[in-house]
Amino acid sequence: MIHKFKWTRYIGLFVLGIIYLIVIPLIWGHSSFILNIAITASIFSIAALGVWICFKVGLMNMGQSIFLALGGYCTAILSVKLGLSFWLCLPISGILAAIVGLFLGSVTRWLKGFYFSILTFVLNMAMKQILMISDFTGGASGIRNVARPNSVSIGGLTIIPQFNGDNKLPYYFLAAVLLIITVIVIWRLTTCPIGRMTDALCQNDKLAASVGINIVKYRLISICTSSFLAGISGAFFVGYTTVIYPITYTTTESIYLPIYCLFGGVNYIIGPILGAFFFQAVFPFLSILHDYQAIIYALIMIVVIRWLPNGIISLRFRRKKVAE
Amino acid sequence: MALLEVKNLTKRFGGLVAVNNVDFVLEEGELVGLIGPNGSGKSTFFNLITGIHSITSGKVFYQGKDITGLSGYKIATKGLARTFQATTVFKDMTVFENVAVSLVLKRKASSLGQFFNTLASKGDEKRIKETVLEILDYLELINLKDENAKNLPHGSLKLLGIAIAMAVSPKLMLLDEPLTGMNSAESMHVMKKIRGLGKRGITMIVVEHDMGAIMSLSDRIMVFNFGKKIADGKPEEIRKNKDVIDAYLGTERWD
Repeated sequence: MIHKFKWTRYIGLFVLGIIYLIVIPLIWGHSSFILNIAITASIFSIAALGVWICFKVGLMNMGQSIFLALGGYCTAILSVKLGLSFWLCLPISGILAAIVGLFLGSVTRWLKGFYFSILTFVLNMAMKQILMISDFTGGASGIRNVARPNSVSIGGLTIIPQFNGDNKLPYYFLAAVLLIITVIVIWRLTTCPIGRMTDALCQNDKLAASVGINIVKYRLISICTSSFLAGISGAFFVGYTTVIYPITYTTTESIYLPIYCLFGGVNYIIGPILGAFFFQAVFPFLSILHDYQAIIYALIMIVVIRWLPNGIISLRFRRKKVAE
Repeated sequence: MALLEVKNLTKRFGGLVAVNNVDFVLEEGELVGLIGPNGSGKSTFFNLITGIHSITSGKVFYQGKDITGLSGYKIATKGLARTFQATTVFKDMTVFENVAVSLVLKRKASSLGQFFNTLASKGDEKRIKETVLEILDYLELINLKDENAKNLPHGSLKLLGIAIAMAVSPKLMLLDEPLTGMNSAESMHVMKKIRGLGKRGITMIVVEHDMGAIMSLSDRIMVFNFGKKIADGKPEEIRKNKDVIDAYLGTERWD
């Protein structure tokens, strides 16, 4: 069945979009603190959506940090060593991450879900060590003074201003635009035939193979897209913070990203976004309770898994059922 | 040229020989019944041909070409389809979507084309929709087309499994216990549909435990016991075959 784009179903999202793009900057545009949360949440949403795509083919990707680091270091090195503009580095980082993802997906194509997760996690741990000892990536001191996104003018008109460290608004809008584009692309992926075939693959891979669905091909498409998104995310962050170290992306991020997906709800695209925004908003407040942070996250996850196994988003559908 | 030819097919799971040196020739247009006690290797035999299990030794030839060890999805592209013993369908989709997604081989548009909804992809969708309705109409499942697969009764699930296999446009269909768990009315219905498939030119191997059904459906019957083929011939011959009777009833009983 072809999903028809019903405008009415998505009114809520459009309103949300308008609030996000217009109302929030108007009210909190001066607050570096609030903008920083929103920016970080938007970009982690993109990386989480990558992990979400992997869930959709039955794989739990526990190594998204690998591609975040790849994207970040790629942009950092191209920017510092070759002086390339951020706007060029961004897509290049994504593509590089996708190529590495393709390679990783190919060599693990026979692995069942669980073993794939373990392998990605182990590679994640190995990556930090490699970054520490590698001179090319600056070793333990990492890379600093990465250029911020530069201004872009066409015919004398500045369409993109020079990004600087004081004003976070340009980053806010860039992050929002990237997230919106990502959501549109992923939405299309899941509603087009590719998405339906990955659904089938996820529900019963033996049956899917028996009707001619090339399991490996769809797994690779998903892994590549996932890595691409993480590469873009890593590139953005290094253009935002101007630094990157081996410890910037560790197994911690690799664990949090699947948690964002599970918390928000794996059945809908908005799930990982909800998860990312929730945790990023909650982090600064919980850091006060530093010692109890891990326990609180564990408690949150236990509550969600026990009562809302389909994530926070399932609250919306529960209310509907009760009303009927 | 035989449609399917199996030579010395053997499968070992560690020390257990599940399929033991089976030779078998299938001509186009035949409907061969495959019977044997539980655990005699019938499903494993299907799994070996369709690439679900790796073959320990032996060869499989389809339309003269060697397909030994070919991976799952490629088997479908050759025109070989199967149903599964359990009620294997895509449980979280509707009946229509189950068959529609199985028509993947009918798609002409590339993945990129599907993403951007090109004309080719639109054409695919139209043809697929027509084919789904044809298949569901044939199996008389059409009034259930928007029903979620997980809500279907057992009999309809089995029919849906056949619909999914039909979506591959197979020349050869392997049916694994299509009548299990059905009452006599449902069985008669499914048997009628299976005969209809034969009339459409689909060659079939049917595994079944319902002796009456197998005797009436099959042109030829093959009998397995402990992974070995112990008999192969017309239904009347099989009925009288001493080895077959021993396999099912056990030699001791005749003392």
